[in-house]
Amino acid sequence: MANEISLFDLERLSNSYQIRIWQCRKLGRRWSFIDGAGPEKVLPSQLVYEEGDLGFFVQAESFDEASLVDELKKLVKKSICC
Amino acid sequence: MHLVNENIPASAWINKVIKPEEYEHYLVDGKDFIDDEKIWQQIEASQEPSLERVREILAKSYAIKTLDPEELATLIKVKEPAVWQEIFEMAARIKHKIYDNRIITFAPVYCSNHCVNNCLYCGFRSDNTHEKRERLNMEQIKAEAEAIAGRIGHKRVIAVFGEHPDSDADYIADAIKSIYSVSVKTRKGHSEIRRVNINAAPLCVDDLRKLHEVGIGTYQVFQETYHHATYGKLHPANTIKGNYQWRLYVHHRAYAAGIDDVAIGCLFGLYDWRFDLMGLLYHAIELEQRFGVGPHTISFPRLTPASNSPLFELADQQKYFVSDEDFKKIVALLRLAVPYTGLIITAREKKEVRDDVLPVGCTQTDASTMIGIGGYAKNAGCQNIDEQQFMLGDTRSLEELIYDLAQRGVITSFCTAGYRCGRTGDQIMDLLKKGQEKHFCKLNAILTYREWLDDFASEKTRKAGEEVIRKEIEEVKKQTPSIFSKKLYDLTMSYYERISNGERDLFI
Repeated sequence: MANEISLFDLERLSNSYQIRIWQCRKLGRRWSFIDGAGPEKVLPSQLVYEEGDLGFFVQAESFDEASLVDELKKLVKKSICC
Repeated sequence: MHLVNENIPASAWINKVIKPEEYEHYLVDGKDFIDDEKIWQQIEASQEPSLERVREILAKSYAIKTLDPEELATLIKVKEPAVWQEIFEMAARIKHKIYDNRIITFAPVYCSNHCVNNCLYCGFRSDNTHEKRERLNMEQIKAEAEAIAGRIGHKRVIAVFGEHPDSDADYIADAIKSIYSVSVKTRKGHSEIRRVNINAAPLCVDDLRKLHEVGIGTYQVFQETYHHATYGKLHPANTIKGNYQWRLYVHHRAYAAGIDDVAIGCLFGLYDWRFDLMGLLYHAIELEQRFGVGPHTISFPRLTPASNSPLFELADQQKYFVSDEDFKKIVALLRLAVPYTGLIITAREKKEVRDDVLPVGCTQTDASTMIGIGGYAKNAGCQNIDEQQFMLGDTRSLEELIYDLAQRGVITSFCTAGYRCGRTGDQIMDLLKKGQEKHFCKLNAILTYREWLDDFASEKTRKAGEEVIRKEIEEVKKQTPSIFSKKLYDLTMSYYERISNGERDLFI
């Protein structure tokens, strides 16, 4: 089970990429909301990164997905180490 | 000595299940949040309000703000039919503002009618020796899910369990997993249950965690009646259900266990409907204030005859039975009092009643309903009072319901998108309160309706449904790009095309 990243980090990512981002836990066939940052947008929800049962969803018109995923990987890794 | 099964004395089992430390810390000076005296004072203190005052309250509700109990008590006092008409119209507007013109459908799955309780109004009560007792095994539960998903086409169920050591949290968790495991090939694609809600006895936090871990949808427990003395009279003290507060605080324990969505309700007709309506509002406010998330749905079933239930013989009980006229008021007032919450009307009610009250605020309903244990796989076409908790008033099939709704321009939605991307709990509550959720609902209703029409509809219903879809897409197009971005519109249309070609479970 992967550890969640902090709300502080989610808010930083939201500001820096201008996105709505939230983290969820996969439970059976469904995803369960943990917390998120950034204003709600009427846009598709995109699963950008999964680590174990933890998943990160984003709503945005456009954003640098590769860079965001890279940051998420580091943050999740850090949260496991800590 | 009363036994819950051949080995376990009832008192020992009750002491093992109920954990006072899991609700007593919520009490204030030893009291729960339902103050019977205060509620009656609020109801009786209110005078018939002026039209101006009524309109002030309606405006607050239209701004998607939960009403104060005094405001609800004020609306209860309205007498003028013309003012009630205004209330019904506002309830319909609020429903449309938050949920659009859609109805979500589901099926109840009765998994076990073994029950240790002895509620005077219920066919499942332990003293009812006429009731045939059954508890489905996992293969039988899968067979139910296959029939519901594969033959009828529902995408969400509420699994129902009596209160008994044989239907404990492990059994319920296995049932959830079994239902989720089913996938059935259909005409053009495949069908499965995407959301498993649970109606079961109040559980402790550890047991609720077990349900959370296997992906429970909404956890639904009704208080039945909020009036302490009536509750005590109808639920004998030597039964586990006799503990009012263990039941009242089960949603608190569910949140503590990590469950996102909880549902409350009460059985109207057990006590004065005005009091129980106030009780529901107090319950919603308590959850909102303590956890920041109110109830996901509210149910408001009316008492209907149950097999060999002594309550129906009691002359003084009949004064509490709810007329159709008052029932419509209950629905509209709930819509106004807790505007963001889903309202569920079930097939207990007759078709005429459902047709009348759906527009004033209901968001979910059931169809092709079987409430006998294992009823879907048996495909029992008729009701059998000795196998049911109560009698159904509307036995329309899902196909018939969808056709009837389509004739009224209502789209039937099978959307479970929130669960596919974690729009749950306080996230969805926030969207509902801002009136944004309906935009997602609108698009997902179109996509899931397309799935159902392709997989299950008769030619006649398909034609009626396609007319509804045509109008919905037209509306979405008009709202692009003011509400829906071009990107979102294009994505929806590409999903629509892919679904038409047999792909399934695509969502926004």
